[in-house]
Amino acid sequence: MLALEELSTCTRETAITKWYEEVFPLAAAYIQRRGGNLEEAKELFQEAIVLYYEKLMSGDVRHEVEDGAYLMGIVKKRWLKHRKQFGGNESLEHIDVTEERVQEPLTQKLLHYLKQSGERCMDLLQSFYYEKLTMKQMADRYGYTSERSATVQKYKCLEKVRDEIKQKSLSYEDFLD
Amino acid sequence: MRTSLIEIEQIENLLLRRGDLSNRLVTEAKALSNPELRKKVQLQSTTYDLVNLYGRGKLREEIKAVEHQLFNTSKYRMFQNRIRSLFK
Repeated sequence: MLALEELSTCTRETAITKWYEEVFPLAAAYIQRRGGNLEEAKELFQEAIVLYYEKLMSGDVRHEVEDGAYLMGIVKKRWLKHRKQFGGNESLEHIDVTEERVQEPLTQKLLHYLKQSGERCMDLLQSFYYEKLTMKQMADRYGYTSERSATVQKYKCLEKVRDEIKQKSLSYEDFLD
Repeated sequence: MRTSLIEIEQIENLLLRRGDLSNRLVTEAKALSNPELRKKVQLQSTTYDLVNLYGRGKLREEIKAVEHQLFNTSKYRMFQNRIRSLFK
């Protein structure tokens, strides 16, 4: 299995490429045998990588399980769910699939606004909270002289984004009223 | 660090369950009795949700870029042939 330390030393792109080269052919064959097409295989594999990556980052992956086995497990579950939605017959018993939250229109508007108004802060924040970079890695990536400077900048960005969300939420509420 | 940033840090510790438990309980008690602070806690929680959605969006873009490379550059011809042979 790709350990967290490896994922932080190699680039994320390298890990994704490795997963595609090693696991996608197996996933595609699995889906093809069940009547799926290439586009469905691509879409499900993308979802599987997102879910697997998030599990890895949260430390929610058993170390003895290989990358490929984990990814294939997710692909199979997603395939059954997909089949259920689009008229398949396979059993959905005992399936535990992490649901992706449907993004509300207000959430989409806020995200769009935040990207436009302060991409650097959003990038910095997601590096820490989503990618789970350490403060040392944050300082290196964003060019801060110390971990302390990166920490302070992180809180400044958090305050800025939080204030923007407050302002925009209020204005959207006014608009809806 | 200025006062407002220290407050942000305290709210973060409360929401993400980090740092000293007794300090978190103090922040929680303050939020219960202070509507303005309570609102800040809610907004900061929403901020984390949006940041994570933003991060997920960036990851999706990166995955699509890798997929595009794999299916469209000559370097990965063997991979492309292997996949296409499955869907003939």
